[in-house]
Amino acid sequence: MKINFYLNGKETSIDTDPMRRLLDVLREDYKLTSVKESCGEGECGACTVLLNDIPVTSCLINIIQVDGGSVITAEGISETPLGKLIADCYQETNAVQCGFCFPGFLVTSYHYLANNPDLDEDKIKWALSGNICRCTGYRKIIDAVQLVCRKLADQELNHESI
Amino acid sequence: MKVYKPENLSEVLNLLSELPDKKLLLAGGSDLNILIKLGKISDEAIIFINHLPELHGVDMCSTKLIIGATTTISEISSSAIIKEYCPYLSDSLIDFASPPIANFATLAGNIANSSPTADTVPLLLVLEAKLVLKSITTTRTVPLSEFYTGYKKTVLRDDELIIAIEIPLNFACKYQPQYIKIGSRTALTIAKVALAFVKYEDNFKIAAGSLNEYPRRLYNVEEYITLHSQDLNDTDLMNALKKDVTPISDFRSDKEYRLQVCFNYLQKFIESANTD
Amino acid sequence: MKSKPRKDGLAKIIGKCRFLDDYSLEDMLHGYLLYATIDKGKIKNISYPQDYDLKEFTIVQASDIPGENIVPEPVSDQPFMTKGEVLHYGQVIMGIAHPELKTLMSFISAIKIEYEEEMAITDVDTCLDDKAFQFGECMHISHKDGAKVDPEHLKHIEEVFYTQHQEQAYLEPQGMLAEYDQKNSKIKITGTMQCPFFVEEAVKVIMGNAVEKVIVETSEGIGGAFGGKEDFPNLLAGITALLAYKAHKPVKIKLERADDLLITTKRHPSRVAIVSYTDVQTGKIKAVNINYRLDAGAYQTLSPVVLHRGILHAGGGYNLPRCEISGFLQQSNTPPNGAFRGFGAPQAIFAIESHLDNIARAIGKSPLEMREINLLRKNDKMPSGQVVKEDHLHECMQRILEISDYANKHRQFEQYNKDHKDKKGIGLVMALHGGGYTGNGEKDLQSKVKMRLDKNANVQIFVANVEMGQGAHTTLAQMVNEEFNIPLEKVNVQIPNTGKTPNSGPTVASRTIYIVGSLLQKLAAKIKYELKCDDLAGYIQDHQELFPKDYELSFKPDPNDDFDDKTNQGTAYHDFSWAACVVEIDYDPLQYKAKVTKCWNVLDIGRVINHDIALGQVYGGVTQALGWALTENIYKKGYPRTRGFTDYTLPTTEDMPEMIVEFIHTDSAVAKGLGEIPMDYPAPAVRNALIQAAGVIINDLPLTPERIYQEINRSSL
Repeated sequence: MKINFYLNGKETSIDTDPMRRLLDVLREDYKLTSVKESCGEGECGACTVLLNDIPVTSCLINIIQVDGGSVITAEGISETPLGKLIADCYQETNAVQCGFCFPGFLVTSYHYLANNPDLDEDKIKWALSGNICRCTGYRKIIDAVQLVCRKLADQELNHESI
Repeated sequence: MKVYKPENLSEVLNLLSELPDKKLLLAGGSDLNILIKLGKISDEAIIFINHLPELHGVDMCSTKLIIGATTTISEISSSAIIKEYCPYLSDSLIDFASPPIANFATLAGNIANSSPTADTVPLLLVLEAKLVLKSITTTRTVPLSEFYTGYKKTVLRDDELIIAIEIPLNFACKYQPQYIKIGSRTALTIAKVALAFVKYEDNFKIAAGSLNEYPRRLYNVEEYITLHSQDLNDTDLMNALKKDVTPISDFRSDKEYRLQVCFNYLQKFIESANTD
Repeated sequence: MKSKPRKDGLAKIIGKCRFLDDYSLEDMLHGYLLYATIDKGKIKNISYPQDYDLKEFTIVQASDIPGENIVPEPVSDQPFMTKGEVLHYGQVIMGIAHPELKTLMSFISAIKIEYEEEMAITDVDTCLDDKAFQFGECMHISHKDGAKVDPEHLKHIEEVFYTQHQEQAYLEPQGMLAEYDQKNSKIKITGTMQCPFFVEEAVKVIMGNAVEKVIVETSEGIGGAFGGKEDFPNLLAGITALLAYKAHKPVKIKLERADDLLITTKRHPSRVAIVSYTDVQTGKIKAVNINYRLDAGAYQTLSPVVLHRGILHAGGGYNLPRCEISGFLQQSNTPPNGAFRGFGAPQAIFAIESHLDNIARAIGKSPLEMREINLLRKNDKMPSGQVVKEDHLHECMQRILEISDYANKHRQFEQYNKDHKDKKGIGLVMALHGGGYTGNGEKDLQSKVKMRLDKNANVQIFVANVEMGQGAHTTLAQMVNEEFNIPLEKVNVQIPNTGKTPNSGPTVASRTIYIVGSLLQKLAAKIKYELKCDDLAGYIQDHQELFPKDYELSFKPDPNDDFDDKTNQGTAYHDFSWAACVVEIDYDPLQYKAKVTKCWNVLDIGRVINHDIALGQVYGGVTQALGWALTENIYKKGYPRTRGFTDYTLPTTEDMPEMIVEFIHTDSAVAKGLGEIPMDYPAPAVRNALIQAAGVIINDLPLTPERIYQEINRSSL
């Protein structure tokens, strides 16, 4: 089946088995290896991407869902002004450890921070509750997201989505 | 797996009526893809429906709220209509799986998947929800309380699909249910016990999940509480509960625990309802 | 104190860092393991499915092994692949490879194996409770520092503590990539691992004389390990190498999460029986007898080393003038257990810390008093006879009492619980963790490090220690640069490659900063001294002809350190890290659920190199320990092991307590180990807090709501 969609802002088309997982199509056909497979059952968030601008676990999304839509991965997000700010803040808090879960966190936190983010810790925790990290205990991840909130408020940065 | 992408609801109904053997409907895919991963699906026909606007969205009329089959959990939770007229439904969906999964899982899918632990069903049961089932020849409305007939068994015919979930306004609006989902952790958890409870006038509607082959109303408990509102005692309440639930032990939990926790929350909800 | 940013940070954040499964080579085959699905017995017959062309597959079995079919371990008793005998579910039978992953996996699932099954021991309690299942060597410590005790006037308490398996749950599953270069008779391994030289040895063993050279390099990124990638990679790499050798093509094996959960190494379940004699008046523990047992699984492999550390930590942070500590390995028909952060110490400390609170209650003293009276002080002797050279454990305790307001809170919570339906509890524990390999281990390892200075004054650090998230490559660079004082961007640890680096030992045992980092610092200081310069860059500029130049240094143990492996007497660990922890919990009696709201941590890890990274280790280690304490278990009696994260429930963002962390003695000359100690103390702290909150005394883990309910129900009968 022919699937047409926007991938990280660019129009693309692929002819493939419509039931293939979005995770596999992104990694194998498009070489977007930021999208990681860790559990294969939607329980860890390491495969999170934006589908039509909302975070989903790509290991449970069949490529047919994507037809006519848009997909954004950590590769795309890291090119945006907001994405760069988020990455800088994660770096500033020294939040990352092994890094395997981080592209997933980048996607989820980008979505949170791009949509009227609240500094409230409980809201941030809920938004990230589908992303598992085994290394960090999450503290510095939350700190980084709060840091972005404060910077956004300070700068009134006009972030652009793709 | 042969995959069909019908252009509209009519085509879906045609396919359902014409295709022989087992057919599966693909909405969000959060349950279907787990089944594929476990090797439980290999050559069934798959009918994709998530793209059809007719099946999507939250609407209302004077008597009810209407939730389209492919509306996602997140969409329902954040819908202005649901927040206004059924805010406890909106709240209860916050703990559904995790935010990324709620973003593509559908309410109809959760109901149709027929897991005994289906998060959404107990509350919908006490809200007197109904399912609109459509085939090429018929459209019928079935109360959710009559939808399940056994473990993973429903009244859904081979040529039917759920097109909408309806929640009557006269009930949903007026009475405020209490709801609890007990999992092994707060987020990303399957329910070990779920309980929904509403007191209306001097009557009660109570439903439990993860305690039977399918989520159901606790009719014996309802009757007992209604008849003995002045002289409730723990022993009789527990006996009534035992008539309504058959909890099991599994990897996740123990039957003694499930029964006791259900009982504890039942007591709590009764107490809260009486003090209001 | 602003910390230096992690060198690997940005690439990891934006997803550019490559992990094993991101590597792909032309002509590469996908490989996988075929393993036994019974617990014990013999393989009678294997039949391949008819509708596949066998010629497309590369298959390796025990009979294909050119070298030896034994995985090198401290006790080498595990075959790479079985010839027919099955001692545990998950015992590897074959390695199979195919160009298409999907075809490979459906082929494997269609293979039919006939077994002759035998009676198996798979239940943990059955294994641990019965002396009949003991195997391997037992270990013993006999410490007689005080006068012989007359038990008649002492409070005598006997109890048994149990802890469960734990899965490391690194987010990146296990995997290996092998390339065979026939022309040069060389095999190259790339993969996710903690110990490149262990893997190199394993591949050399399995390949024997069939290849002349083996090189092992880690992937650019290693997605978590926590001990789980200490020895399983040996087996995985060996089989992947053999497949590549037979196929004459590169082979990559990446485990599915279900198989990783089912067949790889886990934390050892433990049974620790403690008999103690305590003076009721003074609260002083006079004598202790500890019987410490671990369920090793089907083979010993590295369990003796875990056992060794376990018994040497069994006394915890307490002065036990007379104690007898015995350690035993028990055999079960389950996959061999292995390393996991703490390595026997969490099990030991859970038991002694829980026991202390039980003694307190039995003799009418408070948990705090028991610790004040019995804590290890400077000049006290540990069960190994080692003299404690610093009073830092006591300082940790003083400090934590201060910042957590433990004593007041304990009283307040008592009152709160009288007045409220929901409850609160507070628990206090002390911990210690010896840095580096036990006893003579570091001496035997003879770690060696290398540095290369190039013409542009770049410093390349060559060590075998991997960056697996713990920040090793950033902190080691910082430690070296404390000597050189050049821009930190110019100082970099190279990706460990056994062809390029000397063997500085495995990335285990909280030794990376403590042993390897300090060795690197000595080397850096030595270089500066030899070059007689303070301005390294300037010197190199003026002496271009001398560079690039390599420098090496080997570890030299302290000559005063002496350890007898038979009697376990002597310097068990040259330095200990110390810690104190207070945990506050909320308890919901309707669902019998404990939730940790606050966790206070005071640690002495000596000099802190990078404060952010150190904090990250405490946050992460404590979170893992809380998972072990409350929600994680792969096994329930009567059920098969869990196969996914759906039921192996790890802590999420919603499970975070408020964490308060302080380090003391951060200006010390010595940078001590940190990786493991945060795993050692939280579980007993939660268990002790639960006594106040729920009124239950539970001597086992995990403290699930079901377990708590079971105990409440039992005690009310």
